[in-house]
Amino acid sequence: MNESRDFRTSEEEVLKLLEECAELKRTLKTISLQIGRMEARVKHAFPTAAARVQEQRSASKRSADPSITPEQALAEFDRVVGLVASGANEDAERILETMPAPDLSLMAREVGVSFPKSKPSVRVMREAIFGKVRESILLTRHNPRK
Amino acid sequence: MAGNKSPKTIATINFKGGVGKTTVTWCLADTLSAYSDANVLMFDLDAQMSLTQAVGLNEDSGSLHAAFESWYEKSVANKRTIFDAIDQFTKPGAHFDFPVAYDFIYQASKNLHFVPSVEDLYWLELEFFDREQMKDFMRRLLGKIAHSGKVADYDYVLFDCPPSFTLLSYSVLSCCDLVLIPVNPDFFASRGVSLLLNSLKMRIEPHPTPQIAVFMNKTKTYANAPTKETAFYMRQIDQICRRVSTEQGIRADFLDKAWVRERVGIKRAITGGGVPPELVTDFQRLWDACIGVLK
Repeated sequence: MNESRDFRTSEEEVLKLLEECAELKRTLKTISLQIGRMEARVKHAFPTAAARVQEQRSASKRSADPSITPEQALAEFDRVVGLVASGANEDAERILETMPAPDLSLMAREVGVSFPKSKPSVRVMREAIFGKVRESILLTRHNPRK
Repeated sequence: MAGNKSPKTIATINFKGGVGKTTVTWCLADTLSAYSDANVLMFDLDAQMSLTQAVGLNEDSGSLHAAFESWYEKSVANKRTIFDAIDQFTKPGAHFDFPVAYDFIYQASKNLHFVPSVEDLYWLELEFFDREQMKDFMRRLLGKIAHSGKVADYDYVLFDCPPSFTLLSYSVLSCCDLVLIPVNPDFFASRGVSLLLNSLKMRIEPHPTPQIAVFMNKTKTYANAPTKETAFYMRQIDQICRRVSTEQGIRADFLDKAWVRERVGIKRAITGGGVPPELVTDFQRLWDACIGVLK
Protein backbone atom coordinates (compact mmCIF):
# COMPACT_ATOMS: atom_id res chain seq x y z
CA MET A 1 0.00 0.00 0.00
CA ASN A 2 1.29 3.47 -0.89
CA GLU A 3 2.52 5.43 2.18
CA SER A 4 1.10 8.66 0.85
CA ARG A 5 -2.33 7.24 1.64
CA ASP A 6 -1.49 7.64 5.36
CA PHE A 7 -2.26 11.32 4.88
CA ARG A 8 -5.53 12.75 3.85
CA THR A 9 -4.07 15.84 2.20
CA SER A 10 -0.63 16.93 0.96
CA GLU A 11 -0.63 19.79 3.53
CA GLU A 12 -0.99 17.18 6.29
CA GLU A 13 2.00 15.28 4.85
CA VAL A 14 4.14 18.44 4.69
CA LEU A 15 3.28 19.28 8.29
CA LYS A 16 4.30 15.80 9.43
CA LEU A 17 7.60 16.04 7.49
CA LEU A 18 8.41 19.42 9.04
CA GLU A 19 7.76 18.03 12.52
CA GLU A 20 10.15 15.14 11.81
CA CYS A 21 12.81 17.56 10.53
CA ALA A 22 12.57 19.62 13.72
CA GLU A 23 12.88 16.48 15.84
CA LEU A 24 15.97 15.36 13.87
CA LYS A 25 17.56 18.80 14.33
CA ARG A 26 17.02 18.58 18.11
CA THR A 27 18.61 15.11 18.19
CA LEU A 28 21.63 16.22 16.14
CA LYS A 29 22.12 19.24 18.40
CA THR A 30 22.17 16.97 21.44
CA ILE A 31 24.69 14.63 19.76
CA SER A 32 26.88 17.58 18.79
CA LEU A 33 26.88 18.89 22.37
CA GLN A 34 27.77 15.46 23.71
CA ILE A 35 30.67 15.03 21.21
CA GLY A 36 31.96 18.50 22.12
CA ARG A 37 31.97 17.58 25.82
CA MET A 38 33.77 14.28 25.07
CA GLU A 39 36.40 16.08 22.98
CA ALA A 40 37.06 18.60 25.74
CA ARG A 41 37.47 15.79 28.30
CA VAL A 42 39.90 13.87 26.02
CA LYS A 43 42.00 17.01 25.46
CA HIS A 44 42.03 17.66 29.18
CA ALA A 45 43.06 14.05 29.93
CA PHE A 46 45.82 13.89 27.24
CA PRO A 47 47.11 17.46 26.81
CA THR A 48 50.44 16.53 25.11
CA ALA A 49 48.86 14.28 22.48
CA ALA A 50 46.14 16.86 21.80
CA ALA A 51 48.74 19.58 21.22
CA ARG A 52 50.68 17.30 18.85
CA VAL A 53 47.56 16.54 16.80
CA GLN A 54 46.75 20.24 16.59
CA GLU A 55 50.30 21.00 15.39
CA GLN A 56 50.10 18.26 12.74
CA ARG A 57 46.85 19.68 11.43
CA SER A 58 48.33 23.21 11.14
CA ALA A 59 51.47 21.92 9.40
CA SER A 60 49.38 20.00 6.88
CA LYS A 61 47.37 23.15 6.13
CA ARG A 62 50.55 25.24 5.77
CA SER A 63 52.10 22.80 3.27
CA ALA A 64 49.06 23.30 1.00
CA ASP A 65 49.95 26.99 0.65
CA PRO A 66 52.30 27.94 -2.21
CA SER A 67 55.82 28.96 -1.27
CA ILE A 68 56.03 31.58 -4.06
CA THR A 69 54.07 34.72 -4.95
CA PRO A 70 51.98 35.05 -8.15
CA GLU A 71 54.68 37.34 -9.61
CA GLN A 72 57.36 34.73 -8.89
CA ALA A 73 55.16 32.05 -10.47
CA LEU A 74 54.89 34.12 -13.67
CA ALA A 75 58.63 34.83 -13.68
CA GLU A 76 59.29 31.11 -13.31
CA PHE A 77 56.87 30.43 -16.17
CA ASP A 78 58.81 32.89 -18.36
CA ARG A 79 62.03 31.08 -17.43
CA VAL A 80 60.50 27.76 -18.52
CA VAL A 81 59.31 29.34 -21.79
CA GLY A 82 62.80 30.70 -22.42
CA LEU A 83 64.38 27.29 -21.79
CA VAL A 84 61.95 25.44 -24.09
CA ALA A 85 62.36 28.12 -26.78
CA SER A 86 66.11 27.62 -26.70
CA GLY A 87 65.76 23.83 -26.91
CA ALA A 88 66.59 23.08 -23.27
CA ASN A 89 63.45 21.02 -22.75
CA GLU A 90 64.98 18.76 -20.12
CA ASP A 91 65.98 21.71 -17.95
CA ALA A 92 62.46 23.09 -18.28
CA GLU A 93 60.93 19.77 -17.32
CA ARG A 94 63.26 19.52 -14.33
CA ILE A 95 62.09 22.90 -13.04
CA LEU A 96 58.47 21.82 -13.13
CA GLU A 97 59.25 18.39 -11.68
CA THR A 98 60.94 19.90 -8.64
CA MET A 99 58.14 22.35 -7.96
CA PRO A 100 55.78 21.37 -5.12
CA ALA A 101 52.13 20.83 -6.00
CA PRO A 102 50.86 24.11 -4.43
CA ASP A 103 53.40 26.10 -6.48
CA LEU A 104 52.40 24.26 -9.65
CA SER A 105 48.77 24.94 -8.87
CA LEU A 106 49.50 28.65 -8.40
CA MET A 107 51.48 28.82 -11.65
CA ALA A 108 48.70 27.03 -13.56
CA ARG A 109 46.14 29.46 -12.14
CA GLU A 110 48.25 32.53 -12.97
CA VAL A 111 48.65 31.50 -16.63
CA GLY A 112 44.91 31.00 -16.96
CA VAL A 113 44.63 27.21 -16.89
CA SER A 114 41.34 25.85 -15.60
CA PHE A 115 40.85 22.21 -14.65
CA PRO A 116 37.67 20.16 -14.77
CA LYS A 117 38.53 18.69 -11.34
CA SER A 118 38.98 20.86 -8.25
CA LYS A 119 42.16 18.98 -7.21
CA PRO A 120 44.05 17.97 -10.37
CA SER A 121 47.05 15.65 -10.11
CA VAL A 122 50.60 17.01 -10.34
CA ARG A 123 51.00 15.30 -13.74
CA VAL A 124 47.87 17.00 -15.10
CA MET A 125 49.05 20.38 -13.82
CA ARG A 126 52.51 19.96 -15.41
CA GLU A 127 50.98 18.97 -18.75
CA ALA A 128 48.63 21.94 -18.67
CA ILE A 129 51.47 24.33 -17.89
CA PHE A 130 53.55 22.85 -20.73
CA GLY A 131 50.55 23.44 -23.00
CA LYS A 132 50.67 27.13 -22.10
CA VAL A 133 54.44 27.15 -22.62
CA ARG A 134 53.99 25.78 -26.15
CA GLU A 135 51.25 28.34 -26.79
CA SER A 136 53.51 31.16 -25.65
CA ILE A 137 56.29 30.00 -27.98
CA LEU A 138 53.95 29.64 -30.95
CA LEU A 139 52.69 33.18 -30.42
CA THR A 140 56.12 34.63 -31.00
CA ARG A 141 57.60 32.32 -33.62
CA HIS A 142 58.07 33.86 -37.07
CA ASN A 143 59.89 33.28 -40.30
CA PRO A 144 60.72 36.83 -41.33
CA ARG A 145 61.26 37.37 -45.06
CA LYS A 146 64.49 39.09 -45.95
CA MET B 1 38.28 78.89 -40.03
CA ALA B 2 38.63 75.71 -42.00
CA GLY B 3 42.01 74.11 -42.57
CA ASN B 4 43.91 75.77 -39.73
CA LYS B 5 44.90 72.51 -38.10
CA SER B 6 45.39 68.95 -39.18
CA PRO B 7 43.26 66.35 -37.42
CA LYS B 8 44.68 63.40 -35.53
CA THR B 9 44.10 60.24 -37.57
CA ILE B 10 43.54 56.78 -36.11
CA ALA B 11 43.20 53.58 -38.16
CA THR B 12 41.61 50.52 -36.57
CA ILE B 13 43.07 47.43 -38.16
CA ASN B 14 43.61 43.72 -37.66
CA PHE B 15 43.85 41.09 -40.39
CA LYS B 16 42.01 38.67 -38.13
CA GLY B 17 38.26 38.96 -38.69
CA GLY B 18 35.76 39.27 -35.84
CA VAL B 19 37.99 40.99 -33.30
CA GLY B 20 35.68 44.02 -33.20
CA LYS B 21 37.27 46.58 -35.55
CA THR B 22 33.99 48.05 -36.75
CA THR B 23 32.35 48.15 -33.32
CA VAL B 24 35.41 49.68 -31.67
CA THR B 25 35.73 52.36 -34.37
CA TRP B 26 32.11 53.33 -34.00
CA CYS B 27 32.06 53.16 -30.18
CA LEU B 28 35.17 55.36 -29.95
CA ALA B 29 33.73 57.87 -32.41
CA ASP B 30 30.35 57.86 -30.65
CA THR B 31 31.84 58.24 -27.16
CA LEU B 32 34.16 61.01 -28.32
CA SER B 33 31.46 62.98 -30.12
CA ALA B 34 28.86 62.47 -27.37
CA TYR B 35 31.06 63.33 -24.37
CA SER B 36 33.27 66.07 -25.83
CA ASP B 37 33.04 69.01 -28.21
CA ALA B 38 35.39 67.34 -30.69
CA ASN B 39 34.37 67.11 -34.34
CA VAL B 40 34.82 63.52 -35.43
CA LEU B 41 34.97 62.09 -38.95
CA MET B 42 34.69 58.35 -39.45
CA PHE B 43 35.56 56.40 -42.62
CA ASP B 44 34.29 52.95 -43.54
CA LEU B 45 36.99 51.55 -45.84
CA ASP B 46 35.77 47.97 -45.82
CA ALA B 47 34.00 46.79 -48.99
CA GLN B 48 31.83 44.58 -46.78
CA MET B 49 30.21 47.85 -45.64
CA SER B 50 29.45 46.65 -42.11
CA LEU B 51 29.87 50.09 -40.53
CA THR B 52 27.92 51.78 -43.33
CA GLN B 53 24.99 49.43 -42.94
CA ALA B 54 25.09 49.65 -39.15
CA VAL B 55 25.13 53.47 -39.15
CA GLY B 56 22.30 53.64 -41.68
CA LEU B 57 20.18 50.83 -40.30
CA ASN B 58 16.88 51.46 -38.59
CA GLU B 59 16.77 48.96 -35.73
CA ASP B 60 12.95 48.90 -35.63
CA SER B 61 12.24 48.41 -39.32
CA GLY B 62 15.41 46.51 -40.21
CA SER B 63 15.89 48.74 -43.28
CA LEU B 64 17.98 51.84 -43.89
CA HIS B 65 16.97 55.11 -42.27
CA ALA B 66 15.06 57.13 -44.87
CA ALA B 67 17.37 60.15 -44.44
CA PHE B 68 20.54 58.10 -44.85
CA GLU B 69 19.11 56.04 -47.70
CA SER B 70 18.17 59.08 -49.75
CA TRP B 71 21.54 60.80 -49.00
CA TYR B 72 23.44 57.63 -49.94
CA GLU B 73 21.55 57.16 -53.21
CA LYS B 74 22.33 60.76 -54.20
CA SER B 75 25.98 60.34 -53.23
CA VAL B 76 26.29 57.25 -55.44
CA ALA B 77 24.31 58.79 -58.33
CA ASN B 78 26.36 62.00 -58.28
CA LYS B 79 29.66 60.09 -58.04
CA ARG B 80 30.58 61.48 -54.64
CA THR B 81 31.65 58.25 -52.97
CA ILE B 82 35.05 57.18 -51.66
CA PHE B 83 35.46 55.01 -54.77
CA ASP B 84 34.81 57.98 -57.03
CA ALA B 85 37.45 59.94 -55.12
CA ILE B 86 39.95 57.11 -55.72
CA ASP B 87 38.91 56.89 -59.36
CA GLN B 88 39.49 60.62 -59.81
CA PHE B 89 42.82 60.49 -57.95
CA THR B 90 44.23 57.65 -60.01
CA LYS B 91 43.28 59.00 -63.45
CA PRO B 92 46.52 59.30 -65.40
CA GLY B 93 47.74 62.86 -65.68
CA ALA B 94 44.61 64.37 -64.13
CA HIS B 95 44.67 66.91 -61.29
CA PHE B 96 42.98 65.56 -58.16
CA ASP B 97 39.85 67.60 -58.53
CA PHE B 98 37.37 66.01 -56.17
CA PRO B 99 35.04 68.53 -54.50
CA VAL B 100 34.54 67.77 -50.80
CA ALA B 101 31.20 68.77 -49.28
CA TYR B 102 28.32 67.19 -47.40
CA ASP B 103 27.34 65.17 -50.43
CA PHE B 104 30.54 63.18 -49.78
CA ILE B 105 30.38 63.29 -45.96
CA TYR B 106 27.20 62.22 -44.14
CA GLN B 107 26.29 64.09 -40.96
CA ALA B 108 25.29 61.29 -38.58
CA SER B 109 24.98 63.78 -35.70
CA LYS B 110 26.05 67.35 -34.96
CA ASN B 111 29.71 66.47 -34.47
CA LEU B 112 29.96 62.90 -35.76
CA HIS B 113 30.29 62.76 -39.53
CA PHE B 114 30.78 59.75 -41.73
CA VAL B 115 32.20 58.70 -45.10
CA PRO B 116 30.46 55.44 -46.00
CA SER B 117 31.81 52.53 -47.97
CA VAL B 118 30.59 51.33 -51.37
CA GLU B 119 30.55 47.91 -52.96
CA ASP B 120 32.83 49.21 -55.71
CA LEU B 121 35.73 48.95 -53.26
CA TYR B 122 35.60 45.21 -53.95
CA TRP B 123 36.95 45.94 -57.44
CA LEU B 124 39.66 48.29 -56.27
CA GLU B 125 42.39 45.65 -56.19
CA LEU B 126 41.49 44.52 -59.73
CA GLU B 127 41.37 47.99 -61.23
CA PHE B 128 44.47 49.46 -59.61
CA PHE B 129 47.57 47.33 -59.45
CA ASP B 130 50.16 49.91 -58.61
CA ARG B 131 50.45 50.66 -54.93
CA GLU B 132 52.59 53.71 -55.68
CA GLN B 133 49.58 55.05 -57.56
CA MET B 134 47.52 54.85 -54.36
CA LYS B 135 50.00 55.68 -51.62
CA ASP B 136 49.25 59.43 -51.35
CA PHE B 137 45.50 59.12 -51.85
CA MET B 138 44.37 59.40 -48.23
CA ARG B 139 46.90 62.08 -47.37
CA ARG B 140 45.65 64.20 -50.29
CA LEU B 141 41.99 63.50 -49.53
CA LEU B 142 42.43 64.56 -45.89
CA GLY B 143 44.12 67.72 -47.15
CA LYS B 144 41.11 68.43 -49.37
CA ILE B 145 38.72 67.86 -46.43
CA ALA B 146 40.75 70.19 -44.20
CA HIS B 147 40.84 72.95 -46.81
CA SER B 148 37.42 72.59 -48.45
CA GLY B 149 35.76 75.23 -46.26
CA LYS B 150 32.46 73.42 -46.85
CA VAL B 151 32.65 70.84 -44.10
CA ALA B 152 33.50 70.97 -40.40
CA ASP B 153 37.01 71.33 -39.02
CA TYR B 154 37.66 67.83 -37.81
CA ASP B 155 39.66 67.21 -34.67
CA TYR B 156 39.85 63.46 -35.17
CA VAL B 157 39.51 61.12 -38.14
CA LEU B 158 38.87 57.43 -37.50
CA PHE B 159 39.24 54.71 -40.15
CA ASP B 160 37.57 51.31 -40.04
CA CYS B 161 39.99 49.26 -42.17
CA PRO B 162 39.27 45.99 -43.96
CA PRO B 163 40.52 42.68 -42.48
CA SER B 164 43.24 42.40 -45.13
CA PHE B 165 46.03 44.54 -46.50
CA THR B 166 44.44 46.39 -49.43
CA LEU B 167 45.70 49.33 -51.45
CA LEU B 168 43.36 51.54 -49.46
CA SER B 169 44.68 50.32 -46.12
CA TYR B 170 48.21 50.90 -47.45
CA SER B 171 47.22 54.45 -48.29
CA VAL B 172 45.79 54.97 -44.78
CA LEU B 173 48.58 53.27 -42.86
CA SER B 174 51.23 55.28 -44.64
CA CYS B 175 49.76 58.56 -43.41
CA CYS B 176 47.88 57.97 -40.14
CA ASP B 177 49.08 59.05 -36.69
CA LEU B 178 48.04 55.92 -34.82
CA VAL B 179 47.33 52.33 -35.79
CA LEU B 180 44.91 50.89 -33.25
CA ILE B 181 44.83 47.09 -33.09
CA PRO B 182 42.04 45.38 -31.15
CA VAL B 183 42.83 41.84 -30.03
CA ASN B 184 40.76 39.17 -28.30
CA PRO B 185 41.74 36.89 -25.42
CA ASP B 186 42.34 33.75 -27.46
CA PHE B 187 45.27 32.10 -29.20
CA PHE B 188 44.24 32.82 -32.80
CA ALA B 189 43.63 36.54 -32.29
CA SER B 190 46.88 36.89 -30.32
CA ARG B 191 48.77 35.06 -33.06
CA GLY B 192 47.21 37.46 -35.59
CA VAL B 193 48.60 40.46 -33.72
CA SER B 194 52.03 38.91 -33.67
CA LEU B 195 51.94 38.34 -37.45
CA LEU B 196 50.59 41.83 -38.11
CA LEU B 197 53.18 43.58 -35.97
CA ASN B 198 55.98 41.60 -37.52
CA SER B 199 54.93 42.46 -41.07
CA LEU B 200 53.63 46.02 -40.75
CA LYS B 201 56.95 47.79 -41.11
CA MET B 202 57.80 45.85 -44.27
CA ARG B 203 54.35 46.50 -45.73
CA ILE B 204 54.53 50.26 -45.25
CA GLU B 205 58.17 50.86 -46.20
CA PRO B 206 59.61 53.25 -47.24
CA HIS B 207 57.07 55.24 -45.22
CA PRO B 208 57.85 55.46 -41.51
CA THR B 209 55.75 53.08 -39.41
CA PRO B 210 53.18 55.04 -37.41
CA GLN B 211 52.72 54.71 -33.66
CA ILE B 212 50.96 51.42 -32.91
CA ALA B 213 48.67 50.74 -29.96
CA VAL B 214 47.28 47.29 -29.17
CA PHE B 215 44.50 46.73 -26.65
CA MET B 216 42.37 43.84 -25.41
CA ASN B 217 38.83 43.92 -26.74
CA LYS B 218 36.05 41.52 -25.64
CA THR B 219 37.82 41.11 -22.30
CA LYS B 220 36.36 38.41 -20.10
CA THR B 221 36.06 39.80 -16.59
CA TYR B 222 35.60 38.54 -13.06
CA ALA B 223 35.02 40.98 -10.18
CA ASN B 224 35.47 43.87 -12.61
CA ALA B 225 38.98 42.80 -13.66
CA PRO B 226 40.28 40.64 -16.53
CA THR B 227 40.15 36.91 -15.79
CA LYS B 228 43.43 35.04 -15.33
CA GLU B 229 43.04 33.53 -18.82
CA THR B 230 42.61 36.98 -20.37
CA ALA B 231 45.49 38.31 -18.28
CA PHE B 232 47.71 35.55 -19.73
CA TYR B 233 47.04 36.76 -23.29
CA MET B 234 47.44 40.40 -22.25
CA ARG B 235 50.85 39.56 -20.84
CA GLN B 236 51.83 37.63 -23.97
CA ILE B 237 50.82 40.49 -26.25
CA ASP B 238 52.63 43.01 -24.07
CA GLN B 239 55.78 40.90 -24.47
CA ILE B 240 55.23 40.65 -28.25
CA CYS B 241 54.88 44.46 -28.50
CA ARG B 242 58.08 45.01 -26.52
CA ARG B 243 60.01 42.48 -28.58
CA VAL B 244 58.82 43.81 -31.95
CA SER B 245 59.56 47.39 -30.87
CA THR B 246 63.12 46.45 -29.96
CA GLU B 247 63.80 44.18 -32.93
CA GLN B 248 62.21 46.31 -35.63
CA GLY B 249 62.70 49.80 -34.29
CA ILE B 250 58.99 50.62 -34.33
CA ARG B 251 56.77 51.97 -31.57
CA ALA B 252 54.21 49.37 -30.53
CA ASP B 253 52.56 49.89 -27.13
CA PHE B 254 50.21 47.49 -25.43
CA LEU B 255 47.54 49.51 -23.60
CA ASP B 256 47.32 47.20 -20.60
CA LYS B 257 44.97 49.45 -18.60
CA ALA B 258 42.64 50.23 -21.51
CA TRP B 259 40.83 46.93 -21.96
CA VAL B 260 37.23 46.84 -23.16
CA ARG B 261 34.97 44.26 -21.58
CA GLU B 262 33.03 41.63 -23.49
CA ARG B 263 29.35 42.40 -23.92
CA VAL B 264 26.84 40.30 -25.77
CA GLY B 265 24.94 42.28 -28.39
CA ILE B 266 27.34 45.24 -28.47
CA LYS B 267 26.84 45.52 -32.26
CA ARG B 268 23.26 46.54 -31.58
CA ALA B 269 24.66 49.67 -29.93
CA ILE B 270 25.47 51.08 -33.37
CA THR B 271 21.93 50.70 -34.64
CA GLY B 272 20.32 51.07 -31.22
CA GLY B 273 21.27 54.61 -30.35
CA GLY B 274 24.59 54.65 -28.49
CA VAL B 275 27.34 52.94 -26.56
CA PRO B 276 25.81 51.01 -23.62
CA PRO B 277 26.30 52.97 -20.36
CA GLU B 278 28.42 50.22 -18.77
CA LEU B 279 30.90 50.43 -21.65
CA VAL B 280 31.24 54.22 -21.85
CA THR B 281 33.98 54.25 -19.19
CA ASP B 282 35.87 51.51 -21.04
CA PHE B 283 35.87 53.49 -24.28
CA GLN B 284 36.73 56.76 -22.54
CA ARG B 285 39.67 54.98 -20.90
CA LEU B 286 40.70 53.58 -24.29
CA TRP B 287 40.47 57.00 -25.85
CA ASP B 288 42.58 58.58 -23.11
CA ALA B 289 45.18 55.85 -23.62
CA CYS B 290 45.22 56.50 -27.39
CA ILE B 291 45.72 60.23 -26.83
CA GLY B 292 48.42 59.35 -24.29
CA VAL B 293 50.50 57.42 -26.83
CA LEU B 294 49.93 60.08 -29.49
CA LYS B 295 51.50 62.77 -27.29
